[in-house]
Amino acid sequence: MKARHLWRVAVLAALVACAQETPPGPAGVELEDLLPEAFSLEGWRIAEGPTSYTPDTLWEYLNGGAPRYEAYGFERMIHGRYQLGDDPLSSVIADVYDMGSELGAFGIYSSIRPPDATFQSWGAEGYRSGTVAAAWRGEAFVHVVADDERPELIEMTQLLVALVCDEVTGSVSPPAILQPLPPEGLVPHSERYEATDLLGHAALGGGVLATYEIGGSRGELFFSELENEAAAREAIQAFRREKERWAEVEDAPDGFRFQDPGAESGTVVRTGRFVAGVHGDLSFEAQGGLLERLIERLGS
Amino acid sequence: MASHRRTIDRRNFLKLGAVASGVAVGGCGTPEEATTATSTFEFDYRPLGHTGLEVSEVSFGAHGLDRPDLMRAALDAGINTFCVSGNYLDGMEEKALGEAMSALGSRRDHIVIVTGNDIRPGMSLQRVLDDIDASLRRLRTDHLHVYLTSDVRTPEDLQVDALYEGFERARDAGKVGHLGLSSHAGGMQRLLNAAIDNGHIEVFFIKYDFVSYPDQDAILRRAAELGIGTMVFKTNAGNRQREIEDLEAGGLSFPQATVKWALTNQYVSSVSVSMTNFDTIRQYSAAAATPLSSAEIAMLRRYADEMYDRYCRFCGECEASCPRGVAVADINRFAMYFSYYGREKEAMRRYHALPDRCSAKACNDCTGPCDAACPFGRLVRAELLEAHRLLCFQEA
Repeated sequence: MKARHLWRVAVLAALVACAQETPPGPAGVELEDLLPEAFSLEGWRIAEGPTSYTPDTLWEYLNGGAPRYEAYGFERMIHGRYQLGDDPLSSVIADVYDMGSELGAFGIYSSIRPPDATFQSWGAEGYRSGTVAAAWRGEAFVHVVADDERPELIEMTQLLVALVCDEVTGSVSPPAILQPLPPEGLVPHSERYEATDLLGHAALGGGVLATYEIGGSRGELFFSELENEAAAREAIQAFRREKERWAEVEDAPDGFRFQDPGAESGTVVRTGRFVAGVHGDLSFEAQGGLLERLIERLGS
Repeated sequence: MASHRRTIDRRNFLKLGAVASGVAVGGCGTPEEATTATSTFEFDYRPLGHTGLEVSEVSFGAHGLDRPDLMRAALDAGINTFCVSGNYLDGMEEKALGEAMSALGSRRDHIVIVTGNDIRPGMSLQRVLDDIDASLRRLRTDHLHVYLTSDVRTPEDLQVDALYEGFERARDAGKVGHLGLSSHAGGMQRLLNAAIDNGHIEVFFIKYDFVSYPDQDAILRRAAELGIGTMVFKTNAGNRQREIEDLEAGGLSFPQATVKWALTNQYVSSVSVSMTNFDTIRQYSAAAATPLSSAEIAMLRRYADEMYDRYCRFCGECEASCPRGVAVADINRFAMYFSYYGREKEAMRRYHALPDRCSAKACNDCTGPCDAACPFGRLVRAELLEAHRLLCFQEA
């Protein structure tokens, strides 16, 4: 049945592509055309939408979450609710976001990806977790959620994400900003990009985080590229001041180390206009080694 | 109620705003509120209706909860109330709060947890009970202080016997404390009045701002008289401050001013704010502890003047008033594509795809009850006629 749907959608997509008169949007095709037509999905109908949201109106749709999307460069979103038959409690909500850049799409995707997700080969990367299926590709971020975990609804979430990702053009490679991350010990799919407030510190701005496992312990490596060296100095000082509120802090070469009783330890350094660090359960020695490898790659 | 510091004349502020914008801006102060308005506020805790809970005037919105040290900083600042949702991102917010709380030791005992889930008509009793249990598991706790039925849009959404039965069972088991309603839909008047009358709802968790529906304060007062506590969010009135040049000149903060404004209402117990960094926590704590200044009042008034009738709140009042079934929201959206997004052909194609009876052709000889229906003074009929002209290259 799934293959038949895919065939129908492929024909539909070809027809849509031929008939398309407007120039392609940032995601390669017009956002509205990314949501499959209901008649191509047997038993399903579009019960709500498609509705388009812009930076002005996303505020009305997302309950408090809009600023996060805006920080990642959100440009537009198309929303639709697919309903199985006549039962409004058998719905799947599909939202396709044009994030304006590949980094924005990866960023918002990675920032809300749960650590226990099951990864899928949709787009550049996708996952399923509970009632949610999501993926990113190019400048598009796709987020589909079912009313509950009934197999027919979950199957629909997966089908929708796969179909949308097939239509989107754009890169399926990780963003270049992740390249400095050392590969040894990196926990797969743990890389994240935060557009602002890295680790809750406004002074750090945006940056990259990733989880590492070394010798059975885990730590989170991070780095942020500031505007210049002065800004980096200011940012590491601000970071240190916050840490001094709860943790024991001591000087370390080019930065500081902290030990938060009962919680975690960490090492933070500045190199050029970068602030980099690692925190978690890793020993100080392991933290230092990891940071050395990161700094070497940042330099290159 | 909290002790107070300095006079804020809320009623006069709103009146001035209304005069300046030519329409009724935000809440319409009452004599009782005017009395309250001459009192003042400081960052403190307020009773949440008759629930017995004392909530911090500023509460911690969901974003940022994956950083336990941010939560710790919030607690240090006196914020004791944390608001999440079970339905958002498959419970990811709840999991983050649960993990963060587990690192707080005994301090977690001081936290008031507000969470909830989408409960819709037709849902089964077992589904409601399962949803509550799932929230407890994700939050790693055995008690939720306030459990919300989330994203409620219409009075019909409250007609869910399973919710009330399930909630009472969970309350008898000690799993939940108080039932609330969460909504950020436009046109909440009908919904909130129905919720007040329904007798089950003890807490409102709602969008509230200084340019939205005119009778909001009267509704919140009626709720308070019946013991319903109110927490609010989205106080930024559309969050479009960047469109107004120099609005925040002189170091003013529009978001902080809107929080202060909301707290001038004695019926608002807490304003939920997204706390994404340490600075935000400090800034909002400071904001709640200081009175609304004349410069901030002027800033809000200017925003109200310039933005009041410039954006649609999606309340649907105009569409409901239309005697001919015109697809008002769709047509406005197509016009937006045409005018602002350079997608003229697509907008016209979509407009022409509408059933004929739903097009704005019907508006030409109509008296325009939609104009009167719009609570925000938008000239809906004129907008529809203009949209028709744009999308058809002809007059209606």
